[in-house]
Amino acid sequence: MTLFELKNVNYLYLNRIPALNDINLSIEEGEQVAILGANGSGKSTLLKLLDGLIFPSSGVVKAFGKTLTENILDGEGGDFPQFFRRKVGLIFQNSEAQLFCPTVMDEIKFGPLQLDIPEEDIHQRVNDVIEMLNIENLKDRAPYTLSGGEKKKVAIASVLSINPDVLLLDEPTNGLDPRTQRWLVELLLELRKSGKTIIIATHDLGIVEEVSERAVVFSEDHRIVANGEAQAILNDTELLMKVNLIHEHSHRHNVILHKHKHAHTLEHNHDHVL
Amino acid sequence: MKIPDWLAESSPCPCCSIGVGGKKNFIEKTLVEIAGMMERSIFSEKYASSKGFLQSIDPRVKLITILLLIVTTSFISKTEIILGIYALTLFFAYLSKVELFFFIKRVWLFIPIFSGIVAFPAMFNIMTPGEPLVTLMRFNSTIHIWVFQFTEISITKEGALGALLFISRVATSVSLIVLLTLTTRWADVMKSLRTLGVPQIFVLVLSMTYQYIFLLVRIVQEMHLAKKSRTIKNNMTRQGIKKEQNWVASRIGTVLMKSYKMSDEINSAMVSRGFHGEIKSHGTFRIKNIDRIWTGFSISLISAVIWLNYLV
Repeated sequence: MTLFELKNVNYLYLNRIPALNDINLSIEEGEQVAILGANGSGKSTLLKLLDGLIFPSSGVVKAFGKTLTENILDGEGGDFPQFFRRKVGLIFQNSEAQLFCPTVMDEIKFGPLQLDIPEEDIHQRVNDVIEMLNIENLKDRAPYTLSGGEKKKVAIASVLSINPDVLLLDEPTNGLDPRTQRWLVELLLELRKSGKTIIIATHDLGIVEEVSERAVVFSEDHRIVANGEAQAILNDTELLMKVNLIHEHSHRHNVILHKHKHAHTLEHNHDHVL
Repeated sequence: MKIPDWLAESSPCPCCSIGVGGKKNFIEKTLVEIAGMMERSIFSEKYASSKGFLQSIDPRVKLITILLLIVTTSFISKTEIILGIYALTLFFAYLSKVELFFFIKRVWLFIPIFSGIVAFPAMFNIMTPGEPLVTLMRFNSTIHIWVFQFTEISITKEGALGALLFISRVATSVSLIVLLTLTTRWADVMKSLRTLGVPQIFVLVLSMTYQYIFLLVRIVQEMHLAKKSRTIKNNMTRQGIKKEQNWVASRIGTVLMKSYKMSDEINSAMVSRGFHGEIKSHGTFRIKNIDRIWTGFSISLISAVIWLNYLV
């Protein structure tokens, strides 16, 4: 089943700065897709469009067979808004914006409460999520007192408690230490096993091949320049260099991640054999 | 990448001849103080998380009884009864493991500034005529100023008692509210407002404002530090201070824009998790026996002080 379908989508930020340029994309149920692109290429905008938070300046975004418009998501009446919010969860890049409740416990409860999930189920879910993410010691703390990694865990917990089938993650590894990054990859692998659709916007190529099957590459002029198997795209050094995702000092030779020392000249002139 | 030659040069370092010292400038002092004050007074929750008497009482019960006590205090006209209630607040502060010196300091630090200024003129015969206690100045003829007429300036007994009543009333009310906020987590105080019929959206906005103040102070502090790290001259001349003030004014605009952007993001995050114009929540508070006992005690206390004040 096709979950998302985008046709000729353009998005202008503040009605003049282009953020997405003629995007055509479809995402199937159960897929793991990485949205790759340099800073400012439109990845976050795409995720917000998929989550029905913003709407295209032109073109059509369809989710679960319905065209996403302000009326269908914000209008009175109809079950679609609740259905959609239960199905799709977005983990924001900026955890500070996502954590607005007085305590971690309230934060995790917020989503299920708004979506009219029965009280006993909420209780169960909150406890399970807290246990799964090992944040028992944080549950009565206020979000603004947490460290960056803890905030990210709580932000993830607050979305997981809704149990969405589609998870949208915006730069999830940004600002996390290597251990927390590893933890996140393992969590995503577990969620993948349970059949969730996971869409990650990132420029961290290290996690892509582990957590995604398909990769969609954005160029710096906000267009899709490649859409295919993640492994093949990661091996396409020329493409990744062109979209400024890798640098000649740090790139991949087939399966080996290769980093040059910085004080050198000769090492630049090596062949890139695939 | 080729860097320009000037970037590769390092500046001379006449370390021994460099002067050191000077005072912190006003922006830095203000920011550090604001952040410190916020952390100490609001965000620390040091007493709220300790296990004392008032901490064990349900926040809703505590909020309602303390508000009732404050209302009662403002109706009482006998100073000795008010001082009795004040003594009780000290007793409960002690039972709730609040350091008494800290508690008293917290209450009395601001009273001379705010209510003291209001009460001060009322002590004199010009405002409150009566039996003079201390005469400060005597005139040969009657002085007329606007609607006032007097032949001497003195502190009157009625005036002094009135000021004492006023100050003790303010001190007791402030003590009660300080006791409530010290022994209750702010999040619980906010939730308890719902039981008083305060609309959910109002409570939500209030509690969010409270959290994001912290974030805002941090943004401002970082902005100031970023500027400081690039500022070479410590310019405390009149012109320099004016420049600093201009900088502060222009940064206020930047902070406003940043917080506007942030509010937009927060709204998106709320909508994404199912917010649809109305917040749904359910309470987790449970009424225990200690809450019943406290309620009983408060009602008896209120009845007793009203009886003492009006009927005896």
